Amino acid sequence: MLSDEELMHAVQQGDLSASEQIVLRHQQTAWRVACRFLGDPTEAEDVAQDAFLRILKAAPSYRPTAKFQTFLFQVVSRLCLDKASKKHPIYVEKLPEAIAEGASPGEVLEQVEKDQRVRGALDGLPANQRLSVILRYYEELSYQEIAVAMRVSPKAVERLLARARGTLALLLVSPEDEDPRSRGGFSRVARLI
Amino acid sequence: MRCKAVRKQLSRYVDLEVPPELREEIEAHLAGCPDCRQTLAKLERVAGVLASGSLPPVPEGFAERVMGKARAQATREPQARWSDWRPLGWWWDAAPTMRAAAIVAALVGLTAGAVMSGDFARPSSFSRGQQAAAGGTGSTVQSSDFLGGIPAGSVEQTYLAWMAETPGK
Repeated sequence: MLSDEELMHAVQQGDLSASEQIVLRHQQTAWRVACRFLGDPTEAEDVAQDAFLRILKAAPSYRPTAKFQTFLFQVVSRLCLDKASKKHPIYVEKLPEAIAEGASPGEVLEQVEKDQRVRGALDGLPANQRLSVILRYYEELSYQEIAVAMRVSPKAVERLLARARGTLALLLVSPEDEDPRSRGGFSRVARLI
Repeated sequence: MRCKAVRKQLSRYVDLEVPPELREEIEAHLAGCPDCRQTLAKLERVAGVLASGSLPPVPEGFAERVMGKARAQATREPQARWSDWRPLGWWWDAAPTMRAAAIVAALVGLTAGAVMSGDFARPSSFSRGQQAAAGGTGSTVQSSDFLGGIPAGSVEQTYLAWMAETPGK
C-alpha cells in the first residue's frame, strides 16, 4: 500500500485515483474534527469537502516535510476556526445518528441526553479551546502536534487545554460522577486551576 | 511540592505531558493530598464524559462528491486563471504595512538617486578653468570622459560627429 506521501506525489502528477485514495483514507479524520467542532453535519461536510479540495489544489506545492495528517489537521483546523468566527449558532435538537440499531427508547433517550450534555459543554468553550480539546481528547494528538495544527506554541496549547478542562469539569462532572475514593474536603475546580 | 504548584500541572499530568521527574513529584504529592486527588479525578472524568457523546458517520457518498468537485475544479482551472488575472495582484495581496514600507523605501531611493545625480551634474569637481584647459564645454569634457576611447571610423564616432553638427544638441 502506498504511503500518504507517495499518494500525494502521484496527485502532483495529476493522478485522480491517488486523489480519491487520499480522500477515502482520511475522510473519517476530517469529518470527525469538523463535526465535533461545528456540531452540525451539514456544515461539517462543507468544511471537510473544502479541506480536501484545498489540499488537492495545493498538491503541486506540497512538500513531505511533515506527516500528511499534520497537513490535514492544519487545513481542517483553519477552516473550522474560520467558520466559527462567522457562525451565528442556532441551537437545534437533533436525534443522535450513531445509536446502535435495536436500541430501546430508553437507551436512545439516554444517548440524546449525553450528546446534548457534551455538545452544550463544547459549545460553551471559546473556539480555540474547543478545537484544542477535540484534537487532544478525540484525535489524541500531542501538545506539539496540536500546536502545529493550530499554528500556536505548545505553551499556548497547554494553557488552552488547562482552561478548557477546568470549564468542562465544572460543566460536565457532577458530584455523583466523581470517584468516591478521591473525595476530600475541597471540591471547587475553579479555584484549583 | 505545594498544592497550588501541583494543580497548575495537573492538566499536563492527565495528558502525560510532564517530564518523568516532575511526574514523580506530583505523584508523591497526590499520595498524601486528598484534595488534589479529587481535582485530578474530576479532570480525568472529563475525558470519560466527552467520550460518551456519539458522532454521526461520514455522510454516504462523501468521497464521490469531493472527487466530483475536484474534477470540476481541474477542468475549470485554465478558464479560472484568465478570469482571476489581476495585474499587480501581488501588490494588493501584500499587507498594508508592507505596501507603506515599500512606498517609503522607493521614495528614499528616488530622493537619494536625485541628490546623487545632482552632485555628478554639478561642475564643482571640475572647475570652469579645468574645463577650458581640457579644451571645451562641460558636454565636450563629459564626452571625452565617457567616450574618449572610440576608435576612428566607428559607428559611435559617426554618431557623435552627427550630434555635434546638429544645432540644438
